[in-house]
This record gives sequence, structure tokens and C-alpha cells, in this order.
Amino acid sequence: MRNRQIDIIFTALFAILILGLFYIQIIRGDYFYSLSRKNVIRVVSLEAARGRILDRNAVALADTIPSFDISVIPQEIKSDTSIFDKVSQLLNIPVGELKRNYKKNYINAFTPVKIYEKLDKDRIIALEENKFQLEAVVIDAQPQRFYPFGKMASHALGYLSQIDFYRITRLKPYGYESSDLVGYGGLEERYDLVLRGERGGEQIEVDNRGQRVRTVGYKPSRAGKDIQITIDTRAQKIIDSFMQDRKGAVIIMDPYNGEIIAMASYPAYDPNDFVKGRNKAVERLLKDDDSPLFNRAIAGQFPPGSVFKIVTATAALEYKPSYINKTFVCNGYLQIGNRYYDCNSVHGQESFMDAIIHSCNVYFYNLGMRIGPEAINKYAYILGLGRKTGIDLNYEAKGFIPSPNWKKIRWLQNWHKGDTANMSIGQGEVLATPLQLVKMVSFLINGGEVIYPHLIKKIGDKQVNIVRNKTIKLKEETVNNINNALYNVVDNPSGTAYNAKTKSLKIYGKTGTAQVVGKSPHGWFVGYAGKERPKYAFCVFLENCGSSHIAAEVARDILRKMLQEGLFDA
Amino acid sequence: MHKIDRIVLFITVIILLFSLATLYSSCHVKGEFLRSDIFFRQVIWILAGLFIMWVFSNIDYHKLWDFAWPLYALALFVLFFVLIFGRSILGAQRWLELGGFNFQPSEFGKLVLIIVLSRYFSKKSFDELAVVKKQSSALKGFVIPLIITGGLTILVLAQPDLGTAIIYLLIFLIMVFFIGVRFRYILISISLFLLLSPFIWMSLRDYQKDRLLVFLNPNRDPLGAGYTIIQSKIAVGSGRLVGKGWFSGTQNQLNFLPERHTDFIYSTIGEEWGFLGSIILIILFYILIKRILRLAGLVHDPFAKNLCLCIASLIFIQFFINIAMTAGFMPVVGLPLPFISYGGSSLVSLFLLIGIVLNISKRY
Repeated sequence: MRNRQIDIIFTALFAILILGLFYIQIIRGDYFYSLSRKNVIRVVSLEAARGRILDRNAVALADTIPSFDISVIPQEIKSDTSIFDKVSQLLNIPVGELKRNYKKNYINAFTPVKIYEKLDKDRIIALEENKFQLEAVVIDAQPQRFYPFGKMASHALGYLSQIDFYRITRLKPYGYESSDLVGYGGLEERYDLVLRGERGGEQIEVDNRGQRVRTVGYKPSRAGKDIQITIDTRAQKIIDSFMQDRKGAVIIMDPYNGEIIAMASYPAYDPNDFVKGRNKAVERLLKDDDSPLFNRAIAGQFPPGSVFKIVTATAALEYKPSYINKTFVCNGYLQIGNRYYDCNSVHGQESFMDAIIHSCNVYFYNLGMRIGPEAINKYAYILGLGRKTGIDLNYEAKGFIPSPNWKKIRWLQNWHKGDTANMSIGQGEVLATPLQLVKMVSFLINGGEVIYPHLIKKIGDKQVNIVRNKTIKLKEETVNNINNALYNVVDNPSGTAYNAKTKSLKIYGKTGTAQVVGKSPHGWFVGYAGKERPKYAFCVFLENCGSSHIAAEVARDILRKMLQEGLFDA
Repeated sequence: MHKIDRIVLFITVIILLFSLATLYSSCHVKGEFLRSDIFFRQVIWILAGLFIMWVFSNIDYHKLWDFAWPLYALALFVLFFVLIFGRSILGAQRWLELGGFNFQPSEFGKLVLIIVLSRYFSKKSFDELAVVKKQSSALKGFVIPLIITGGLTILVLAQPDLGTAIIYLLIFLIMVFFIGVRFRYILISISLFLLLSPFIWMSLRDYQKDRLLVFLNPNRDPLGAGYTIIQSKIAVGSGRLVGKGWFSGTQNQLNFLPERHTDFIYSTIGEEWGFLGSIILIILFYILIKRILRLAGLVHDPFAKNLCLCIASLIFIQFFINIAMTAGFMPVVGLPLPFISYGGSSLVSLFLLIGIVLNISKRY
């Protein structure tokens, strides 16, 4: 009989059992405990609804609508893949894509795996109706950005996309995460912190099927603030309709307070394309040679051409009011040194006024050389060229105004008279953005008050007040003379923009045809208009359109349409 | 005549209370008493078991000696019968329906095997046993009892019920070891088993192969065969020292464990009562088994001695294997935790065995 041995063996085995349990419950207990917590606790992030962007009449330009994500719970489907076929049929999405997403996003057996994102309400209904057959499918609603007007004002609005490396390093301290959507370009980027709101979270306890049993912790998401901007959708629609197949930019601004009424840059993009993540439409936009993502209105730097004559003329009159009586003879060209500088026509004897009305180059070559490049440079800066206007959009360009010193330093070359001649008519190195030119002409009507072009009107419920504390001092005489000339550019049958003349609308403006090496010239028409008193400053810029004539025509069509729609009524 | 062994009785009752407390908790789903049917059925089984225990503690165990061989024949017949007419649950034909109750003949087989082996090794006089011990006859001391055990084992294996078959073989091994068969035979039989193991492997059903492979690497199939192992190990481990508390085991209450009131009931104990609860459970069983072994040492009748030893071994083997598999130390073989798992057949046969032990304690 082996009583004792049996006893010892059993006792030893009991001891082993205790040791084993000691190992997994005490030594590795915390590890298993954390695994058991992981089994049951899920953190569900609650996306914050992004604030809307409203126009000045509270029309939503960027809205937030619900969109739906579809997930499946791996544990529920096990190896039954027919669920993918069903979902694919109902939603009309290729099965391969669903399976690929499933593989890509799989975390563990209990966590729902996202198989398709961002479906709209109409498509989700088909799935919702068949939900009883698809127990493993989970549908979540998420707030999503929606731009009801598509391409319209896309550059002013910007778009939303996944945060990139550059932005995440900069924005991390503000609580941004690497999976966030942030604004790119336009107001979406500039006011991102206001618009984005704060993501909330919910800790829930789930059962083995990943279904909610109870809520453990909850932090509500805080919706972003709406912003109201100065854009008037009516005006914006008009300028967009005339720019559809063109390349260039149009800005309409209130010259008295700097409110941008409309701003368009074409070719444009549809910001809704970016909402769906990287796709073919986005690839196409990024590859397009015409850079549709580029906001020409504020970041495009172009030679202003004859529009710049306003600067030269102002400089001359400010220096010596008697220039108003100065005449030069135009033979169609001017010889400086051994080079010939062209004019657009043979004007003969030209007065100061005529020179602006006819846009005579020869007159301005002469005038420019009389007053010198430093004076032109100085007045260009006074009139706001060569530096940012300070509009509340990122990526604004400064433009450029050359000077003899600059040429010396940059190129180690002397400044020639020819350089002065080129500068006087806005050619050569002179560069300006459409926005700068609108700002420039508004000085002529608001009595020299410095206005800051801006788009913001209200953040949440708070009115945004733009500080205005500066005026530039121009002689009243100067301003009157130039205004008079600009009026005649349109009104006078020999004016370069006579084609823009409109009944019951007083249009002031200056055309510009900017020569571009190797391409057809850009056309400009910059000015202001109103029934009696000027109401809007505008700038029409058409890239490589051939002539300012076309720009004046587009401006006329826009202004007439605005007049028809009553936008010029007080 | 002695008095009944009160300690065995007392410990059994405590284990029963432990069982009911655990089962009551594991019948809750998400805080609701959803599986109350299981709980109350178990209460009925326990009452029936207590009655049977009382009956058998009053029946002279010598009667079992008389019925040993007829019972063996009956067991062979029933096990054969269940293979052909039995109800199959989860792919295994283990159940017979008897007047509305599902009855597991392999449980009956355990009882019969214990009785038959006890009788076989005690029919000789003490002197003759000494002869066996000196191995005058390997045939009588080893081969014949192996054939007796094998008959039942093969029928059970065919169901297929690997767990019970292992128990039969282990009872046999402990019995021959206890009697004093030379180690040589035990070693030979073990090496034979190892030699045959490739063939056994081939004869295993797919799910059994899976279980073995999954034991070696549970992550092989975390949603299928490995799921239970992983989840029950997490449940036991996450109990830590004092457990998560009654009704607070998330693994159990939130349905992460299938079969948690039957074979995996220990996961509930481990999770809700922690290491301390487990120790108490182990100590209770240790006292019970020690007490029965002590009785084996005290009684003079070799049949009673063998019976006590086999009964103690059976309880121990099931207890050990069940805890080890639930905590992930061993491959999963479907065995209930004695007295605690839900299930009538196992419970009733255990009570019956305790009844026999109590009867022996009165008579030595």
C-alpha cells in the first residue's frame, strides 16, 4: 500500500496549483486586470461640430451636416464574409474596398472596425432599413463639413483636410491631434481655433459583443463657434458666374471700411472634394498646372501695368501740383539711350488728364523721369503697395516695388532711366496683388483713411471691430484731379474703359494691360462705382486674357448685374 | 460501529454553499438575474443529490461488491447504447434521455469503474495481494485491470469525450500505483502511450486537435478555439488578491466567457473572489480529499480502502485538471469542477460517492 506516496503526490499537486494561481493572480495579476479592463472599457470620441461660416446676411457658406460611418464587429461576423457582399450591394460600393478597409483598420475582436466612412443620409437609409439582417454592422453619425455653394468663394473659405506634419508640430500646444481635420487656406485656416470646437469623449463599458452596457465617464463635445463674414452671397454669386471659364481674380470691397463683399479666384476648387479625404478629384486639383488651389486675389503677384499710373500720377501731383498743366508730345514711342519705349498709340500732344484717360505711356515715361524713381517708390508704399494689406487670410503676398538702392544691392547694377520709365507704367519689377490695388483705389474716395481689408464680421455673438486710426494725407486737389480722370476713363468716348460705361451708374476706373514675357498680357480693371457716391471698390484681374479691354467688359457685366439685383441701392 | 464522518459532511456542505454563491453570480448578465433557470435547476439537483447521498450513506457498501460485475456489464451496455441512440450536444454523443432528464452515462461509468477496480484489487486476501506486489503475475496485477478499464475508456473515447477517458485512465493508474504494482509496468504503459501518441493524435477529432494546438499558442485562433482560454485566463488573473467582488466580475457579467456556469465556473471564482477565494476553495478540497484518504488508511477492509482511494482520486483529478485548464496551465478538456459546476449527472454521482464514503466511515 502506498498511502504515504499518494498523500505526498496530492499535496504536492495542490501546492503546484497554488503556486500557479499565485503567479497569474498576484505576480501577473495587474497585467491580466488591465487586459480585463481593456476588454470592457471603450473610449468613444465625440466629434465636435465645426462652427459654420455665414455670409453677411447669415447665409451658410460652410455648414455642418451629419455623415455616417459604417463599422462591423469582427467577433460578430467571425469568418462569414457574406456581410461584406450585403453591405456592398446596399450601398453600391465595391466589396474589395470594404474588405481592404476592414483589414487595414482591424484592431481586435471586439472593437468595431470602420469599413466605410462619410456616407450621406440618402445612402445610409438603404442600410438602415436592412439593419435587422446585419447585426454585426454599426452605424455612427459624425458631423461633417459641407459647402452648399461648392466652388463659390472657395478661396476665401478654404477647405478641411487631415492635419499635416508642418501643422501638427505648430499646433500641438493648442490641443490638436494627429488625426484632426484642420483648415487649409482661407477662413477655415485663419479661424480654425474658433471654428473647431473641442472634441468630447465617452468612456463606456461594453459586453463581449462590443455593445454598450453603461456609461462610465462622459465629457460632452463643445461645438465650434459660428463666424459671420463680410461676403455677400448675392455679389459673390455674380462674380463667380462671370469667372467660370476664366483665369484671374475679382474682388469687390466696401472702400469705406474694408469689408470684402466678394472675392473670387479662378480656376477654383470645390472644397467638398477634400471632405472625403484623398481622392481622384483632389489629386487632379493638386496636379493642375493652373493651380486652382492658389488664391490669386491675395497671393497672386502680377505686374499692375497701367493701373500703376495712378501711383505715378499721385506722386507727381503731390510733389508739384502744377504737373496738372504739364503736356508732353507722344509719337508712339520714346527713345531713352539707345532703346525705344513703346506707347499703345500715337497720341500727339497730351495733357495730364488725357494721358490718364488714354493711358499714354510716353507721357508717363516723361513724368516718371521728371519726378524720379524714389518718389514713385515712396508713393507706391504710401498707397499700400509693396506690403501686406493685413487681410485676415493666410498666405497673403507682399507684391514688390523696386528702387535704385534695391537694384544696386540685389543685382549690383545701376538704375537706368529706362528702369524709371518701366516703373512709371507699372512694368519691370513692379508687382502687386489684386487686393492691394483695390485697397489703393479706396484711398481716393474715403479721404485717405487707411482701411484694412477684412472678411470677419462676427465671431460667435461678438462683433469684431476693426481698428481704424490712420489716414494718409493726400492733397484734396490731387484726389479730385485723379478721381476726375478716372471717371473720364470710363465716361469719355476716348477713354480706355469706355466700353464699361453704364447708365445710372458712375464708374471710376483705370485699365491696365501688363506685358508678360512669352505669354499674352494680363488685363486689369481697377476702380470703384456707385449710383451717386461710390459704393464699391472693385478689381478685375484676368490672367493672360490679352487686353484690359476684356477686363473692363467683365467688370461692366458684373457691375450691371449687381445694379440689376439692387446691390447698389443704399 | 463509528459515527458518520462529520468533517466530510461539513466540508461538502460548505463547498455546496460556495457553489451556490458562485453560480448565483455567474447567472447574472449585466446585473440582471437572467439565467435564473440554471440556478434553480442546480438547486433541485443539489437537493436530489443530498437525498441520494443520504440513501447511500445508509446502504451497506458491501452490497456494491455483490453488484460490481453486473454493474460493469450494464455500464458497457449503456455506453454502447448511448453511442447509437444518444442525444448529441456540441458534436459529442454523451447524453441519454431518461424520463425527461438528460443523463450522462460516462458519469455512471466512473462510478462503475471505481467499484469494479476496488473489487478486483481486493478480492484476493491480503497475502495474495503481497504476491501481486511481488509481481508474480503481471497479467493479473496489471494487464487484466487495464483491459477492464480499457473497455469503458474506449467507449467513452468514441463519443468522443477525452476528458472522461483521461479520468478513467488516471484512476486506473493511481489504483495500480496504490496497490503496489511495480513501477516498471507503469513506466512501460506510459512509454507505450507515448509511442502510440501519433496514432492517437490522428484519431483525435479536429476540435480536440485544435484545443491542444491552441493550448500551446492561444493566439493561434483568438476568436475560435483560443477565445475561451484567453478570456478565462484573463478572468482568473484579473481577480488579483481579493477579487473584483461578488457580481462585479466584468469578464463573467459581461458575457466574455461562454460555458461559464459549467466547465469554466472557476473563472468566476478566480475573478470575483481573487487569490484568497481560490485558496479557500483549494483548502476546502484539500481537507475533503485528505479526510477521505485518511479513512482509506484507517479501514481494514481492502475493498473499502480501495473505494476511498478511488473516490478521493476522482475528486482530486477533476478538481486539479479543471482549475489548471481554467487558469490556462493545461489544455482544455471538458471536465466539470466537482460540486461547483452546473450539471446534474456529475453532481449526483459525486453525492453518491460521498454517500459511500460516509457509509464506510460508519462501518470500519
